[in-house]
Amino acid sequence: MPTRRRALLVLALLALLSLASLAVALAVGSVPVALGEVLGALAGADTPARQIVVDLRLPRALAGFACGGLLALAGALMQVLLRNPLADPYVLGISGGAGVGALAAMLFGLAGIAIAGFSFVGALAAMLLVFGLAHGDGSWTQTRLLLTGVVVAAGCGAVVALILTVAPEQKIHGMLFWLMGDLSQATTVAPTLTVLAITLAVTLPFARELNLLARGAEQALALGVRVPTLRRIVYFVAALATAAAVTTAGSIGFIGLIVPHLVRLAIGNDQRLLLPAVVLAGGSLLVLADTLARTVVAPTQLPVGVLTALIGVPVFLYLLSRSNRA
Amino acid sequence: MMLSARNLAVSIGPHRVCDGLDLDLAPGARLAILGRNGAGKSTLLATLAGLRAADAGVITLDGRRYEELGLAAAARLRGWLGQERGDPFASTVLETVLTGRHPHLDRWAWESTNDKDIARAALAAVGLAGMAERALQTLSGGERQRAAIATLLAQQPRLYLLDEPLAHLDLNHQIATLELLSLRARRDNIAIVMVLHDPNLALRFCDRALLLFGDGRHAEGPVAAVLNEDTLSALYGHPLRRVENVFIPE
Repeated sequence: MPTRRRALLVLALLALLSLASLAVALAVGSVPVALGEVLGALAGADTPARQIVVDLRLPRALAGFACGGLLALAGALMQVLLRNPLADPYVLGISGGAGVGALAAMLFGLAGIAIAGFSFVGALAAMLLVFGLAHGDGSWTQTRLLLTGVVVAAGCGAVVALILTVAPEQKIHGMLFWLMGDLSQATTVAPTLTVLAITLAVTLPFARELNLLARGAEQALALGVRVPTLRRIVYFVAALATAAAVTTAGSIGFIGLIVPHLVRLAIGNDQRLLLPAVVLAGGSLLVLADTLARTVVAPTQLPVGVLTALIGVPVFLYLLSRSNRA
Repeated sequence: MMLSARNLAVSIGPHRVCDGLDLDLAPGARLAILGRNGAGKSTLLATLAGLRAADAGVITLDGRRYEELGLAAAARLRGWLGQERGDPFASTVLETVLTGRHPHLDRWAWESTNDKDIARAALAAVGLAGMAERALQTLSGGERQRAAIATLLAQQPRLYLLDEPLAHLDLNHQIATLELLSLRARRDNIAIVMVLHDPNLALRFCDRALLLFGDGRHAEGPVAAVLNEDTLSALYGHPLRRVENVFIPE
């Protein structure tokens, strides 16, 4: 069990890692920029590198950080809410709803902010649908919520497949990129970063109660946790975080599943430390993965979702096999 | 009275557990709930713990209803030991026992050294002193049961509501646990309600018994009055005969 001091130390280290990952993202690319020039450009010096660093790379890096943080936070919350280590932000169909919205927008020939708007509406619709169906008779078991979400997600998947089938050839590429997760369209980062700050600020006061909820609802209730209220808060916060991330960058996979587990293996399952830690770790990982995605076979850009999986899966399997003895 | 129920009616769907149940438990009193599988022992216990609503009647803890107390104050007064043990995520035994301190901590507080001392003392009381840093998942069923009892001890409530506290325990630890509970009742004036399956243990370690017959009828009173051949035979639907000279663990 971490003490408050050790928790702050871990968070300070992760904050440094986050800054380092952002620095790498700003410096690396088809036009390498020295670290000194990066700092100069950020400080406002009018150098040639300024446009590349501040206008091109910074929004994308910050969007990546925000999305990674949101997905990891949503994943950690879903795992606690459903008391299921296999849960991730997409398990309850929120990304499916967003996917249907985004692809429908693309099918109708909309672009830019309209796609984001449609996907956010789709995510909210899926969220309310699952919540309404699972909560219909007043009882709320994890199994019922999980099954409802999985079925809604499957339905959304079918609609996505249908849209892909009827969509004209030239739109398919963009749709596939969106589905695999892609940060190249992310230009406005302020809303995403704001959602990240809000979701973290809303959940942190309940962190110790989440520790109890993870051990069982009845026991948590007997120890004084307002379980139904807490579950609703966690559900809507996780759904909002997922919707914001998916709207910004499409369905980037594996961050929401793997980062909470990675962090848990390293520092334990105390949500007071885990929740802020997964935000920093998830943000850093996605920034680094995105930097790789746009540089490794430049000028071709890979969908970052593919890279998060390619990095995340072996790292996760390695850590899991190492921790088996525990 | 530590725990009182007046005219309590509890049911599970169409199945009536009890009707018109009156109960008074003074500090230091130990009540055993006995009945067949499915008679509603756990449901009644959860109702007494304020975890589910009763059909009718009033339950008071130390003179106040659960709605008046609020969840946190109720958690400082009564502890509840459930039957389910499931932890999908890894944690140590000490972390688990420390969850019992939750109702005593402010929203932003972390567990203090004092809380950890209380948790370690609780672990020692159930015979798990050396196991604090072990992963909970590596414990045996009986050890996990004792860790759950330690969590309840660390909660430091004045009323224990225990659903099958002896589940998974070997004979030695069954007796040790019941003696620990009796000690708490005697020394600290803790009131205890426990669901038991062995009328002999109820007779020996409790001063009152509540029989749930499974059809809505119940009988409650001092063990000497309630536990006899007729009531127990009716309770379990199997003839029981009283034998005085059997071997029982000391």
